Amino acid sequence: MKLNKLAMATAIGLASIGGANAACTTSTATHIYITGSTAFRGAAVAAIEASLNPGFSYTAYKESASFAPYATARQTAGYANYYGTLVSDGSCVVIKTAWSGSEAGYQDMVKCTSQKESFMDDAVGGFGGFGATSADSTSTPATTDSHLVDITMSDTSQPFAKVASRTPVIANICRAGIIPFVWVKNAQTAADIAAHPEYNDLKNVTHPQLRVAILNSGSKLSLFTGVASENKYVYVAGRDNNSGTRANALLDIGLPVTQALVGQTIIGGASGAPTLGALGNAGQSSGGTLGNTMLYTGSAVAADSINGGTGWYAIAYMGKPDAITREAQYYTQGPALIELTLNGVAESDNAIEQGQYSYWGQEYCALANCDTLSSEAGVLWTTMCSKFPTSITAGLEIPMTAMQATKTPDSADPIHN
Amino acid sequence: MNHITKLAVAAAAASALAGSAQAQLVSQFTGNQDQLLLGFTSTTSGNDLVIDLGTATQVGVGGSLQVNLNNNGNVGLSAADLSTELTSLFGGMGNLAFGVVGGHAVNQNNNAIFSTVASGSAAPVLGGVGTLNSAANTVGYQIDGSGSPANQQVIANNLGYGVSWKEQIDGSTSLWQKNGTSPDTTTPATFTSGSVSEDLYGKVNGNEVLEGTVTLSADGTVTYAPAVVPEPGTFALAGLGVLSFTLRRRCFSKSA
Repeated sequence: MKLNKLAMATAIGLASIGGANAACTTSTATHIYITGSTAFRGAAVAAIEASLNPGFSYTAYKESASFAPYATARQTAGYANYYGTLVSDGSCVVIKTAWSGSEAGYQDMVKCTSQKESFMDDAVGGFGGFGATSADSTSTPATTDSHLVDITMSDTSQPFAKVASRTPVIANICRAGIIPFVWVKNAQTAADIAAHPEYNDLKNVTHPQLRVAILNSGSKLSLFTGVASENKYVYVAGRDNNSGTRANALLDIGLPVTQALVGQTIIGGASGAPTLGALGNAGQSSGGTLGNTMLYTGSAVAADSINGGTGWYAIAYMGKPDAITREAQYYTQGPALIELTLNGVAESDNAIEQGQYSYWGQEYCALANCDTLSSEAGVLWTTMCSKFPTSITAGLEIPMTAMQATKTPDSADPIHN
Repeated sequence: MNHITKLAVAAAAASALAGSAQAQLVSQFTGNQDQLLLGFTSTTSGNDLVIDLGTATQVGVGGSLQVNLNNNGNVGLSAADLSTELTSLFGGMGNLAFGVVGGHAVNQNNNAIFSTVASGSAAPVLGGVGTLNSAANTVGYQIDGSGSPANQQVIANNLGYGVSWKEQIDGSTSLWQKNGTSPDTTTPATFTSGSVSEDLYGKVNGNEVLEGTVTLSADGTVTYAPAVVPEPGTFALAGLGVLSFTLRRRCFSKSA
């Protein structure tokens, strides 16, 4: 009898959820638009889903080919639409995410009556809608819904955003957790490593070495390894100035987030034939794309178009989630990225929590204070803020409650509490 | 028109151009083009003024003539207007720290950095060229065309933006001064007449040389003078030499 009661309760519950969703349509549901940090999107997605009643559906695009250790592929998606009801008040919502970068998110907040981001339309590729089958894709979708933004995720506090994004001060903002970042070196084939074993000597980077590399025309490998004969150049591949990963990299090595870079490159070409872009201030708009270009093999034997000669190596700063999904323990499609230690310390949850490892940022979730804001956006923001501590994936993000060290302000060195 | 006549006409036209006031040379800093930035700061103002003077060549580096940078369009303001702006921003012309920096960094064999130093001082230390160029670019990129005139920008220096002359160039802990000598000289507390000069050095592909002198006068006039300016008599002698050589060639070619 108990089992029957349970089954009946479950059936009624499911029916009621289905009924609620059935009553929702994309034309009547409130649309909520979320953007910001690509690095923290895995935890943000988990918090969004925890804010929805069971039975929601989704359409997720531009997912990474390899998503472990995340639980779901959509935690790596560049774009997603969610169709469901909020746990807080049961209202019908379409939640759209387009992760444009941490700094771009702040711009969207302070210009929330005019600055728009590109989201997917309500239906994409024949998918999407209340009660529709959920869909996952690694493809790049059409993003035809240009819209103002309600909520954003950012890897720095607002005082360390780009200058134009520091005012007006955002009233509603919560700390979502800690986002770890890492420095990695680009992938090489086993044959290239055997022929060029100096690649193995690049294991650690220090703040002065990174300043030299990112502000000059690359740096010789010997600066990093201490071996005088290792003369290939090492170049920094990185992100554009809408990136919180970049902002935290600059802050960590002692530069302002506004520093104009002279020595950053964008890797082009393809695996087997990578190329170096001209050095300067430009960078990739996406952490995933940066990670993919760092997977291009062959740089050890490719032409160095910057300083001449044959062979070069690249290092890059990346969010831990974008890096680890391309490292050997989870990436099995070919040669993988290799993480470097920073000032002699390997990145780990414990090393960050105790303040030994310094390249990490405090993640913020901000609610736009615009007249155009729907009340449901505020409800979702409040719920998300309460869900972050349990939306964390160990090894990829860290809950605030676990931290034994703090950075105050963002540019400071970690201090143990 | 023979060659000599053409030469004379061209020289006259060039002379007329140099003598007249020109429009402002640049409208926006583009970086990595050897654009020279003239920066002003003081200990009392919350703002700095930075002016893009144009490329080193446009300023007169590598040339042989003294250039009035107000009249030539490099400053974008007449001497009187620059004086008015500096007085408005800093409360007067006295106790103003000013200097000139710029450069480019393409690779290890194609780079340059320019910097002033107090007149008569030893050649400045100019360390990592790219690092110094990054500091200059960070300030320069604030000149985005929105200033008035477009080749300048007033930049807050006390809000932690990290993009001002004081934060990147003038401060003792700035990126510039971690890697090089301060380019700035400070005007006298009372600066109502006379001028203050600075030596401009260039380090091109590792070779550092004295290029010339930048002078700020109390009336707002800014000039650049190359390190070696031939006397007018030297010009006349050189001109006569060229003329006689040309005539000699023409005579020989006709008789051949």
